[in-house]
Amino acid sequence: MEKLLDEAFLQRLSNLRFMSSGRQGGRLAGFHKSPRSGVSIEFADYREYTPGDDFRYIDWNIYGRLGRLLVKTFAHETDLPIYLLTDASASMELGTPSKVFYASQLALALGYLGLRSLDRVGLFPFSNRLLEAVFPRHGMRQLGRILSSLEGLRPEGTTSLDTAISEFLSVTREGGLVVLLSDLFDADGLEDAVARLRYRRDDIVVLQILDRDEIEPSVSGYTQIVDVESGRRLKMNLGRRAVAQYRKRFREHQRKLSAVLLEQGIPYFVVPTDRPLERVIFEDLRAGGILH
Amino acid sequence: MILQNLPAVYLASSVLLIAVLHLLRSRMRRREVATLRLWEGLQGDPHARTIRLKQLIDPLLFLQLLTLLALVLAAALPSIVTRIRGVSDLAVVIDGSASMQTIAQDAETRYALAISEARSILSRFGAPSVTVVQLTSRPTVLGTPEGSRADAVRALNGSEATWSGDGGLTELSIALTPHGGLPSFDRVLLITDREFGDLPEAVEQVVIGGGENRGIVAFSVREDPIEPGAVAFVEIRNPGSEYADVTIQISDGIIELALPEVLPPNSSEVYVFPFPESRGTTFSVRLLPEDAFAADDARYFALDRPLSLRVRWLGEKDPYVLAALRAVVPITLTSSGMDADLTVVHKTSVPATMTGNLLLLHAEIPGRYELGAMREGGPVAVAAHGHPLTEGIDPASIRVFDLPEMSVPNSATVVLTSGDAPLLTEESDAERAVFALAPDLMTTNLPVTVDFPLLIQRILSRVTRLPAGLSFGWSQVGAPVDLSGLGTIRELLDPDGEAVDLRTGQSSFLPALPGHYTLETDRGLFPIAVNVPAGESDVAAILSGPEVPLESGQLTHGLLALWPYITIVALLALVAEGILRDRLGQEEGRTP
Repeated sequence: MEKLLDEAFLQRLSNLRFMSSGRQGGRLAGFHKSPRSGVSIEFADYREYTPGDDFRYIDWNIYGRLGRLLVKTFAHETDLPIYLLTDASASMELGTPSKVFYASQLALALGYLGLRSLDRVGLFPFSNRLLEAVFPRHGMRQLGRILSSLEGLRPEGTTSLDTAISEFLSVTREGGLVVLLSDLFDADGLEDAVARLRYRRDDIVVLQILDRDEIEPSVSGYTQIVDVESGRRLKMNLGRRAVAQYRKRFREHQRKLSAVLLEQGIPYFVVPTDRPLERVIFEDLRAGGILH
Repeated sequence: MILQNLPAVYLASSVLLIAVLHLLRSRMRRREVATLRLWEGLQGDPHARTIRLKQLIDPLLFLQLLTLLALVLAAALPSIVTRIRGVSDLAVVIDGSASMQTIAQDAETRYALAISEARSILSRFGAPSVTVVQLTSRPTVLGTPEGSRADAVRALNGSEATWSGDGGLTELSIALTPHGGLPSFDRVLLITDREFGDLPEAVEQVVIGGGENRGIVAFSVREDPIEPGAVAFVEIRNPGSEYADVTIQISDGIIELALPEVLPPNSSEVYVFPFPESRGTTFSVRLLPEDAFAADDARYFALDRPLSLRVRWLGEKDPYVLAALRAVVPITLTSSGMDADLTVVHKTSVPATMTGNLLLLHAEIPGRYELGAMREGGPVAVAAHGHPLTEGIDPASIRVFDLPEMSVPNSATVVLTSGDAPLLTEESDAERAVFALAPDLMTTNLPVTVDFPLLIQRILSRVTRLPAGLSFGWSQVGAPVDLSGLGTIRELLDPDGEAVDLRTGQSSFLPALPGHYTLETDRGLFPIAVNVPAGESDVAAILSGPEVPLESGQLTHGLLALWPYITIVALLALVAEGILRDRLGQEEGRTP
């Protein structure tokens, strides 16, 4: 797999952080206000100053010695467990770039944002089961673990969102922000899976990663259509008429998805892989209230 | 359009091969999708055949094949005829006379060089119609204007120089008459080894030279007016600038003489060779060693001589036989057996050691031909059908009253019988012939029949050449030889001993080779000497001819080479293929 993200891009993410609905509370300090009362004076960590930070928390001594503006963080700001659930089923292999690559880039960027905001970030790749569990932790070393896991992803198998979420819930007890990155063609299990997460009071963000040709397939004539997950095949003449029918059916599929998710107030983004990652993060997710 | 490298077109067959391979591997496109649920139950496009067809016609393949075809076409060196100035037809005339067989350079004859030059001219000149003529004293049109340029080249390659003499403008005009005549050609290129004077404006000359030549320019034989025998006259020319050591070999067909000689430069020498007592008829002379033009290093002469048959008579003279002999040929009676053409033995016996041709008339050779008891004669019949002795003889007109029983050797052929007894036999080998007539002539009616002189004539024609009624001296290659008046033709052999095809009733023939031809008729053997025309010996030793002045005269058409343009088309098609492939590759890459 080629390099997922370069450092320059990560630097540009410095001004962003996750917005939480405020329902969750972590064990350590972070930028998310804790639902618990009281003020913590326990020093937790330093981070780079960014415009908008409270001047009172700038460590001027360090500035005097190193010339760098660092902000002290304290335990009165609670951290937010962020769970990155990345679909690694066979269907994610499709597209150029592949959907799994694009999803990995997005997960890495979001993980970086979470870790930089002193949140704990974990990664849980899945297909028809949970493939791996990188449990949430603080610090940039966790980013290395996430990166290593993402780079090792080899899409295979079918998708079973329901089963994967059940396993995910069984290995994580603490609620948090669940970011689901999938092409969501297994829509049947989505409603149950979301319901279980909501039951645990997780915040959920759904990013549907799609290839442009899945949204607007091109006319390709006499074609053998192969389901990469089940291996089933279908032969047909893929002309304009068939493409029009497909689009209609795809719109119906998307309408059902959005109905399920939006009904439960779950932010839902359709992310084509030909959309630049920067625009997804700086425009779509900010506009959607996921980042600020 | 003219393809100058036609074999390259065969490469175009690879296009077919590629197309077939493409169709064989023509595949259904494959599209991998995340789930079939969205695809199942969709109705395919109704224009399935059209889509399939479009799929088969791969634009990339089309461009690739176009590139290949263009490259193949370019390799075939196509060109088109362009009009430069007022045009019309081109005639390429190649001198095919004997002198063109002179070895000019690098073991190539002048004719081969002329062919090469003609091909070069054809490739440079783009006249749509090309007439190719081989010019000799009997010119031949090798390529007619209706044929293609390739036909003309093929005709040139398949032609050979002849042994005939030079042709002139008259012969050329005659040859071109069926194609509109000389004036109808805008340009006539004459490739020859001699200078033509006063050529018409439309005729341009390319001179092919090279090769030295000393030769026998004249050869003649006549009877010695003073003594028995013949005298030969030979003229040899050495046009070179150096002395030449040569040997002159001359023969009367029996005796051969050799004279070493040094020929001065730029000289012409006449030699006289006496042949005392010669009775030869086929004279030839050779000049050794052979030079670049060998045809005039040998000359031939057939001397028709008023010969008399030398007859030796043994035994009682018979006036009827002598009269019959004299009726056929003048005879001279001789007493010597050494130089007799025929020994007639009449009513006597001769030893078996006797040499020469023998005619036994009621005579014996003990141990070989012996006469026994007399018996009554019977009807005369032919025992050896088709035998030359019986040609024209009617056996029924011959009466034999009685004859002796004659024993003959096994090697003898019984030609005629009377009753069951041998009447006439022949025994011949390479050395001599022996004829035996068993009865006493006076017991037959032979002396008073018309068949008797004829029979004697047949016998004589088997032992010696009978004098010809006509004298040829010598003829030349390509000139007709009249055969009329020589009797019924049996066979005509060329100098190589090959039979010349003659139609029934044909009264002349055109010799194609120099040398001694032999004509056999019912009147005997006739030598016919044929030489290369003497004018062919006068070959100019030009080392190299001038180039054809392409821009002079009324040149008319030129060839525009198309291969550079076609190559550009091929490259453009290749670039387009690359661009298209790149685009299609991008689209294909997006296919999930």
